[in-house]
Amino acid sequence: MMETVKVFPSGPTPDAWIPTRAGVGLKAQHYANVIEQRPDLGWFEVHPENYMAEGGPALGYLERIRMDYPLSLHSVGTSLGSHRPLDRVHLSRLKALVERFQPGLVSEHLSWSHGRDWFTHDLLPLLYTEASLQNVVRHIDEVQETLGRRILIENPSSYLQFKRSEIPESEFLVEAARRSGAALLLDVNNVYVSCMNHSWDIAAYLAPIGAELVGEIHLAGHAVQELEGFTLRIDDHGSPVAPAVWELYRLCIDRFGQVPTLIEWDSNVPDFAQLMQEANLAERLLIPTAETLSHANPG
Amino acid sequence: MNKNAIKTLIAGAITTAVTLAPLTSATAADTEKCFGVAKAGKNDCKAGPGTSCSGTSKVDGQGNAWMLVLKGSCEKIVGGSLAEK
Amino acid sequence: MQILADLQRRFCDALRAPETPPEELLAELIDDGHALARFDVYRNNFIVLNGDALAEMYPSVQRLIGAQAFRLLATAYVRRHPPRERALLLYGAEFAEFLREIPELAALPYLPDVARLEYAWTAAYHAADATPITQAEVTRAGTETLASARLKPHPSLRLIDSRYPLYRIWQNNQHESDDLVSLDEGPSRVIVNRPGRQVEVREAGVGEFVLMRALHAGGSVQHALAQAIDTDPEFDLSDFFSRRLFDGTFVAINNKPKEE
Repeated sequence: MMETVKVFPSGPTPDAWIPTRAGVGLKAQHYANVIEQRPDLGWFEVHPENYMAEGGPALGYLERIRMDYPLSLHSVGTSLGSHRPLDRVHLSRLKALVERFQPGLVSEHLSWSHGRDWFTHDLLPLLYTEASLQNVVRHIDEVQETLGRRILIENPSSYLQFKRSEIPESEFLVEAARRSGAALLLDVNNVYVSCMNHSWDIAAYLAPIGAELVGEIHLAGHAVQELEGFTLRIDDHGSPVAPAVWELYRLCIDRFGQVPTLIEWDSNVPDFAQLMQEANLAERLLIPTAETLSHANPG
Repeated sequence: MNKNAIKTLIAGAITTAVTLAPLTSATAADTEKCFGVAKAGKNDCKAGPGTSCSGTSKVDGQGNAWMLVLKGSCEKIVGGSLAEK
Repeated sequence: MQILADLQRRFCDALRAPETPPEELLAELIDDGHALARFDVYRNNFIVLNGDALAEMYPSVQRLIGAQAFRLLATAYVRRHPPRERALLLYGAEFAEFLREIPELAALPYLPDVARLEYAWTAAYHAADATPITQAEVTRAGTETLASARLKPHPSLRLIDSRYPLYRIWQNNQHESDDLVSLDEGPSRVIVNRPGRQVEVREAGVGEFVLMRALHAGGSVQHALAQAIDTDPEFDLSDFFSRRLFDGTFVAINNKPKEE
């Protein structure tokens, strides 16, 4: 059994808990739909960086929506894997948002975006070595100490690998979680995209991941790019979830249990009804009806 | 205009404004309105740039050539220095 | 750690450069014959995602010059001015200046001003919230003392003056429009403000603009009014205050003398 190193007792208040249901990534285009229609959805997720403003309507809309739904904060800007130190100002802004919006979950990616004195705003691939692992763990520790709570770390989509990497990605991820006491956000689409892009074996990728570590699942669509003589899958969050990813999701639910699941759709953002359809699909797989349940568990 | 005249003008303008001002607060009404009727595509839903955790499948032309072909609504702007060229 | 740091710096430099990545970086990548194409996914992400952010910030500039030209400019801009913040909310602050330096755009001299206005819109959208002053506060301060007081404008206030008919150009690019705008219409002064939840953009008369600029700079009401009347003898303060004193344009009355 995995044992976690640290326990952060001051978690979210019960009204903030993310239910074992489907949620969607909240887009500014859909504020009005959500506020007016109060759709039957379990929860929403946003990038805290998009709310690091001094004031303004976006924060107001989020506050209004938080009154009706649990919220998850999914950070993209801490750059956990960077060789550079974490930014205390950014962390304090994150902490302020955590205090204000009382999210049920807080997460960040296993990646980096800050290599020079500017930001790429893209999730860059990490070197998987012991030194790099220690660096990531130090940074996760710092975020968790600052926020006073456990965070979740997400597996990235990646398009290249470094020769110097010594640790398989999912082992690196699990070890980072074990040493820091963080949980995992398993992005099923990212698992699929990375495994296809690098010809990794999906079962082998999932093998080191213990069910007790997985606190959230992400689903999204990806694009298939035919390049000269080979195919790359790009995690563009711009289409419905691919059939193969739905299949993999079903398998992950079997393996990791019922985990809150988020639909992400960030480019070619559809109308809210289509987003709801995706969420409903996920929820049907996540929470089987009584019949399918009894079928799956005879006796 | 001398200082006293300016002061008188200001006092008068403020008295007028206080008398004419509606009794309701501007922001309370505005808040109601915006939560109620924000329509997609309207300016009140526009929020400017934001970040996401996705990549993109749109490919940049990677053109270094400065072949700026201006094909937009700028053709609807006439006169001024443009006419003098 | 040195290895990680070197690798990340090289990676970033290569993302930003248009040229093929240097051999030191390519040598770090697992080579399946497609290493360069794989790296280019990241370079493309960097250029296109940040270029998309710029397009979100500057929709009217994009409309004016067309999507293709905008994309070329955005690519050059992202390379020259990569994001300096962890949030993208206000990315593109130097775009107006950048446009001014592009020789091919000299024929569209109003374009940088359109960019200034669009940046002001988003900056106002994300600016701090504040409560408008009330009649009670004004009454309490006393009509007499207000002349020497300073009226603090809402934190979202932005003032943009242009030699060109900026307001009309911007307006015409908010929706499909066949209206022609002539640059002969002359200068335009635009006030951007977000008193509640909606950003307001309006054209101001020269007197009002000068008054607001003086108040924004921290000048007293009497100082600001003297400047406004100097520029525009017709300026009507009663009319201005009746419309603007309580509508969220102003958020505080400061009676204390200005600290020099």
